[in-house]
Amino acid sequence: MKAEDPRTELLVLLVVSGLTLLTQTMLQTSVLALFCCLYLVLHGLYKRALQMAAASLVLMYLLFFTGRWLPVLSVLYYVFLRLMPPVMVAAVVLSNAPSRLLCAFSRLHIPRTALLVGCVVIRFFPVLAAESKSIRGGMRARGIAGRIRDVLRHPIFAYECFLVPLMVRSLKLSSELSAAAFLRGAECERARSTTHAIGFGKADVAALLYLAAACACVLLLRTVAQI
Amino acid sequence: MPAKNGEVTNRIENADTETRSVAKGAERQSPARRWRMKDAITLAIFNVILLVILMVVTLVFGMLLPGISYMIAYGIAGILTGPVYMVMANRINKHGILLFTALIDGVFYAVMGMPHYLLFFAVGGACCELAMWGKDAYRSVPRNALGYALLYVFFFLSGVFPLILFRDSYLEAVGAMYAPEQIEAMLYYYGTPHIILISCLLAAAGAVLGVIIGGVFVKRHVKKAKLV
Repeated sequence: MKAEDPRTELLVLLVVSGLTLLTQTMLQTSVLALFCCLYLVLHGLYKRALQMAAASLVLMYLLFFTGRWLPVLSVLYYVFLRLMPPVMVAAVVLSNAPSRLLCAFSRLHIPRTALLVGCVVIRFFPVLAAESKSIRGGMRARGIAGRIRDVLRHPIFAYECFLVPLMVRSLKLSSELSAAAFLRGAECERARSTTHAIGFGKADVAALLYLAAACACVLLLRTVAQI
Repeated sequence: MPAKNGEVTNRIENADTETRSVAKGAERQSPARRWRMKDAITLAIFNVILLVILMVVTLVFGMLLPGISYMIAYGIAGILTGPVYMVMANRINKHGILLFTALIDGVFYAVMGMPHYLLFFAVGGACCELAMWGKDAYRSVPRNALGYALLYVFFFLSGVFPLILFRDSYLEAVGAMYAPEQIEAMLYYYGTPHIILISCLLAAAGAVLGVIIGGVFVKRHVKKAKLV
């Protein structure tokens, strides 16, 4: 399933998101999560599949064994557990190179600016985590809000000390990314060529059949549960 | 000769009018008003920060103060995200910022299995854009306060609208997601008119306060560094 078209992956993601809304019991959610985990494995993302499966199992354990004493947290665990299937499929979509995603989705006649926004949003989450970590490190080195106690004592000061470098860094990053995008011809009006193989093939048919099987299973379980 | 002079004067006047209309048209479509790649990238980066803060605040308050968090979480998030929004608005200063912000949040929730949010956020974003009509509205603190407050009111109402419009099917859908006591609390906070009104006011007040703080923040830190 490696050479699947990103448009097919997007369709799978949208359908799985819809199915997530339809699932009513833990069994239905688990079956859907299992299908999505196998989807990750079929794409060769073994490490990610293992991580997601482990996270799902931990959430299930927390839900069943600690949720009884902490009902508030049980709701949170359950919400996260239900979000696991779309997150797993999203991981498959994100495993594509940004240029492949851009090229495939531009064939859907999505405006290039919107595509670029989507790509930057997807890619900026890990960057934000790394930036936050380095800012926190810098704050600790200067003795500002080094401990949680200090943050609780002066929350506004701590937030300001965190926010100012984050904003400055974000503005600089936006300028750098814009310059890089400009140099790569992101504002060019002509259709872009690509070295990635994009198009509907056997892998897409297999993915759609797999999706149909997942839908059938979940809907069958739902019907049985309603009876 | 006088007749010829009059003709020349008329021609000059016509040419002047033509030049003015061309200039007006050019101004209407000037690149300064069009969205460029740089603006889109800035919007994307700042929206990630806004989204992360919003998620963290709603999660933390949902855990610490279950129930009442429905009322206050958006207000607190508005205060904390206001400065980030103001930096973004001052940097881009083009129509569509609030609409695209709402759409990005809506797409995020849709991907996470809550597609109905996208529709409400799109409508909310369009209403916010109407509130920001006019030139340089995104550089003005009062106008930004109005637009951002509206956006946060819509964020809160996105939980209320489904209950009003399609109550039974919505309750069936979220019934699996939440515990019965949680649904009871949600129905109380999203279904009682005076609580909805207070929550909307708190969300709007938080957003207004956030934008005011953001205005000071931009003046004190961002403009001084000549980043906007």
